[in-house]
Amino acid sequence: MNNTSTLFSWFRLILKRDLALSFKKIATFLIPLVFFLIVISLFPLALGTENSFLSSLSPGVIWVAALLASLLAVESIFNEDFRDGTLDHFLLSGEPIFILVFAKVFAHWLVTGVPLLLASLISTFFLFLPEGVVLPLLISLLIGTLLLSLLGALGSALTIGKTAILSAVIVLPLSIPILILGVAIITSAINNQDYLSYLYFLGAMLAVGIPGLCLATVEAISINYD
Amino acid sequence: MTNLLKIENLTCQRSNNLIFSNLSFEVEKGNNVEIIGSNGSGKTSLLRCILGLVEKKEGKISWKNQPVEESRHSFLKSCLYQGHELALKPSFSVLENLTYSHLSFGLKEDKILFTLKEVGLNDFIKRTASDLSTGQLKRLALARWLMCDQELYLIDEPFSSLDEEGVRLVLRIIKELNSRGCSFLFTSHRSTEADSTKIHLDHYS
Repeated sequence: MNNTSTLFSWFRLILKRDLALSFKKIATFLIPLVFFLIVISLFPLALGTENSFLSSLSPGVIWVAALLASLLAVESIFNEDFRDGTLDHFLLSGEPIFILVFAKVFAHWLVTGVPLLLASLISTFFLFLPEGVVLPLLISLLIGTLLLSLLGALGSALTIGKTAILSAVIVLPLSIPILILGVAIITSAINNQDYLSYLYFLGAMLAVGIPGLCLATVEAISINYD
Repeated sequence: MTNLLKIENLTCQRSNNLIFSNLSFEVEKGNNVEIIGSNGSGKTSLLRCILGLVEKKEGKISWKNQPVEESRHSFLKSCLYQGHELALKPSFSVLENLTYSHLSFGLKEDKILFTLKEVGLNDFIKRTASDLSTGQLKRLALARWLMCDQELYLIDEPFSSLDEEGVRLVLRIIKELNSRGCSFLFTSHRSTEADSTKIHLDHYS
């Protein structure tokens, strides 16, 4: 096998393994999804069903719910493997840790981010969002949830062997720029304003975030691993 | 005899506590070294220090006559480490636990099934690991040793929580892997029947 195919096999092994593990424990992807839908549905119940009022609140509501929902499974990215010794095996496999981190982030996103994208479609009915907002909502959430998974991996790596709440405390402040841009995209779309500049900015953050945050996570694992 | 691993004057310290100092030994191809020590004597730390998971304070670790820092990739590729935790997922079946191991690269399922037969778990391949006894879990971890011939096996207490039959199985596997040129560096509380050079870590603590 040449280097590229070995790296790809390594990526595929970790991805398949993490996905298989998540499907064995349905709670891993079901809890963030249910949490997101419950939070979204609480707002019309608590604030009434006046269309324009709910619609004006919806960008913030959707993004805060997505942020909190994606945090629920952050701890499992590295800590479970650390506790049962699997992380030892991975780190000592001689395969690149960067690929391990990226595969784990991607698996986390597939398990938590993708269901949130689908759930956000349902949320547009609860929150009376206009039809034209669906596309920017989906694209912003697609990029934003990937960034949240990358930040989640960093938080999980920094808190290996420690309590779950600590990773949430680390990730929440770091995710504020994503939250601001995500809300700005949907608000602009609702008001029929240009949202592309915000979307490009969020995309640029992802382009930098994939290598940058994966490398930071690799470093966090090596510093924290003892 | 080819020298695989050479430890010279190794000193390990964690949080200002000296764990062991000036430890020297060699592991030769096809031979075993047994590290014997009481609880807290630093057996696990020694294995993790050799693997670079715990920082060493002083000393030199060489892999095939090269400092391990310079040959880390080939060193790790040639080693298999098993700590106290067996790195098994309770929700995975016996077969899945081996299939999703990093050692399964390029291995056909036949080979994995053969290793399960070797350790007496061939009738349990679909059973989830959470339904196995502690001894059976140990056997599942043993199957991983046989999946591919690593040059050096670093095993933390391979004989703990095994019945007599299990101990005999471990001894047989060690012997079999030795005959294929594999070496073992393993730890234990007391001297075992394994054919090995015994090092009492308490003398260096």
